[in-house]
Amino acid sequence: MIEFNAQYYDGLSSKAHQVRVVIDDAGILKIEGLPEPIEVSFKDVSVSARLGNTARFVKFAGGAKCETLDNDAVDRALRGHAVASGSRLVHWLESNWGVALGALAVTALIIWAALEWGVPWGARKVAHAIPVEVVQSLSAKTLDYLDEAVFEPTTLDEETRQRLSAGFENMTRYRKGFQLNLHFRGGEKIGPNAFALPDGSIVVTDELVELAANDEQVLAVIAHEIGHVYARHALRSLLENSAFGLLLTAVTGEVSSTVSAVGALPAMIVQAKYSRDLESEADAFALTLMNETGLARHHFADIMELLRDDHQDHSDSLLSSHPPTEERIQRFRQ
Amino acid sequence: MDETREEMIVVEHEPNQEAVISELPVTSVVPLEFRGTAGEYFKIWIVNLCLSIATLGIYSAWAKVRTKRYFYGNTFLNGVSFDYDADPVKILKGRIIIGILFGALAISQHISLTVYGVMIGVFFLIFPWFAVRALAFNARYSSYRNVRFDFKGRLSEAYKVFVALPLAIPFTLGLIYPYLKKHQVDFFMNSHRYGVRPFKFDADTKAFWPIYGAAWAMSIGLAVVFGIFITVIIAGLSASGGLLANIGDAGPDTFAADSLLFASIWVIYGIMYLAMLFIAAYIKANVTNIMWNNTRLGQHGFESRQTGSGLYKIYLTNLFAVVFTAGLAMPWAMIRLAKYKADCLTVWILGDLDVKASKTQQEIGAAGDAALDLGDFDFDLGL
Repeated sequence: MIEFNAQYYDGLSSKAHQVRVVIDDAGILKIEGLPEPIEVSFKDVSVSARLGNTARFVKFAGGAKCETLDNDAVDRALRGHAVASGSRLVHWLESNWGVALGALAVTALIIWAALEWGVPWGARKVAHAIPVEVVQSLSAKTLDYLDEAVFEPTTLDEETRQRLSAGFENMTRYRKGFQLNLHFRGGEKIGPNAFALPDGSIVVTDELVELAANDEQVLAVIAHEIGHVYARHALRSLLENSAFGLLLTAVTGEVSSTVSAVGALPAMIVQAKYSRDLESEADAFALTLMNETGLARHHFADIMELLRDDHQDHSDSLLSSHPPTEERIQRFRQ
Repeated sequence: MDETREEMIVVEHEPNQEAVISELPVTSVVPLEFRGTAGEYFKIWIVNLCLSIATLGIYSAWAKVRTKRYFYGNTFLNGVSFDYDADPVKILKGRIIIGILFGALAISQHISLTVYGVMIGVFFLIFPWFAVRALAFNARYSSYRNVRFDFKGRLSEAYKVFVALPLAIPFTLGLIYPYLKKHQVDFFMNSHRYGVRPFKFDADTKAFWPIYGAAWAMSIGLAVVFGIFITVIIAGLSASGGLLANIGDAGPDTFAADSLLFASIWVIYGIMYLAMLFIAAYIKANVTNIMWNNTRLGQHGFESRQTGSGLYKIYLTNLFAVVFTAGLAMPWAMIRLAKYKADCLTVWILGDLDVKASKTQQEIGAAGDAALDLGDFDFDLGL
């Protein structure tokens, strides 16, 4: 027989009655202390799930409720009469420091695995599932915008441009899928550089051509940029970075300015890491394409060295968007 | 508070471990009591997090119910706690809907800016509907002494306070804000019921002017101080030959100066954020006070004693704790905030708190809320 003190509320008003609940071995629940005592079968009531040491509720058909702080007595009654009450498992998980620390470890592991593998994998699958035409249309206007804001018309002579275009044709001849186009631009504001836009436009600045010692070096850089297009990096990058924001919201459970402010630095670090991975992938693609086309791979290493000496090199930091330059040079010198 | 109350016999009521119902003296000043602890809640919080992630978010609806039950269940008024008994499945439905909507919004951003702009407009316009649903859901599944709360806010009024008036903000250069706030608090409080008894909030827009006036003055002061700060720093760094001296001339020599510049910008940004956080805390605390101090529930009254600096201390220490523990201090932070809010709230109970349950409650109890099912989703709007 199990007994405990409780407050009884009939559900019609907030008036409370101090009562004693008695559950006998036959499973009959009696409430003593009311003007008219109540008697029901224990199986006909519903008991709220245990949550720490918060009050436990025994709910009756018709809306009445008994409220008690004696959780242990209620648990004994539930066990004794095999009555279900929410999840005892969850309460057990929540009352155990060992479980809590284990859950912490598991959570950290899952989050790390999601960021390291899950998100890049998902982004790759989604990006490649989108038809080429759609991907190309995503950035159709970008070159126009860049022409307005950043680039000037090229000052390279016709012969150089034709040579490089021929080399470009040679590289892209057997590759199907994207429509690739080579564009020359003056890049005083950005120096020696090359870009790949998702729609297949490859832009090379005059400064890069001038810095390079020969055509092969320029083509090596172009090969790397082509890699970005075929591997749909712009789209994958977009998806990966959005996913991080989404993950942050899901984990913290709220969309507040504090969360975005505090999450800004981790976001930058994660995005930089994703960026480095994509750059590595583009390097690998360049290696393959150069082999196919008969371009000696050391040209890539050579132009990397020239670029490194020209810029300051911050590629060793956590926030760097490209892998360390030394590493990249080594890869192409093997 | 009116004169009659001062004439009554007022007795300070000590928080008890057991409910003391039948022996309430004439008028009790009953503080709200929060008994939750960080240690206990941490375990609940981490299990919630782990299971939510492992189930790709599905468990999060159950996690929300457990969290609310923990906080409600550890908030005591007169030795009796509050209860939250929403069905997690309904919460899940609401979350899925919101998830789809925000997903569509995010995707539209990359399709075209026009589509994105239109969608933002649409969201702004349908927000009041979601707000009313969320507030009603939250109220109906919250109860005290087995009498449920309720929310009877009308959609038209929701539009006024969430769409129409906010649209006037740019046109009035922000001066309409105290008026807007008064009407939002009015809408919120006066639409809530405890059983059949409505909450009655009654204060003029005038009451809000001092708060927003002070906040406005503080913001101006902040802007001036940081304007000076930034001018000084930029002048100093230009003199040292950094990036600003010759834009476009970035190279190895300017690296040190450039780094200093970027670091200073981050530091300034950080300090500004912390200062704005104070202004936010100041506004929140004072608006909360006005809200409760001018609200009655039948013959009962409320007293709220939050202060801007008190709330700010909590916000600030919570922020640093959470950042430096990579989020692990979150449960501790939540408990601290709940405790502060409860510690600052007192209920003046005249007689006893005997309120009749509303018809809605009987509908919920009897038919298992069939009558409410259509709109019975919870939308986490952070209200």
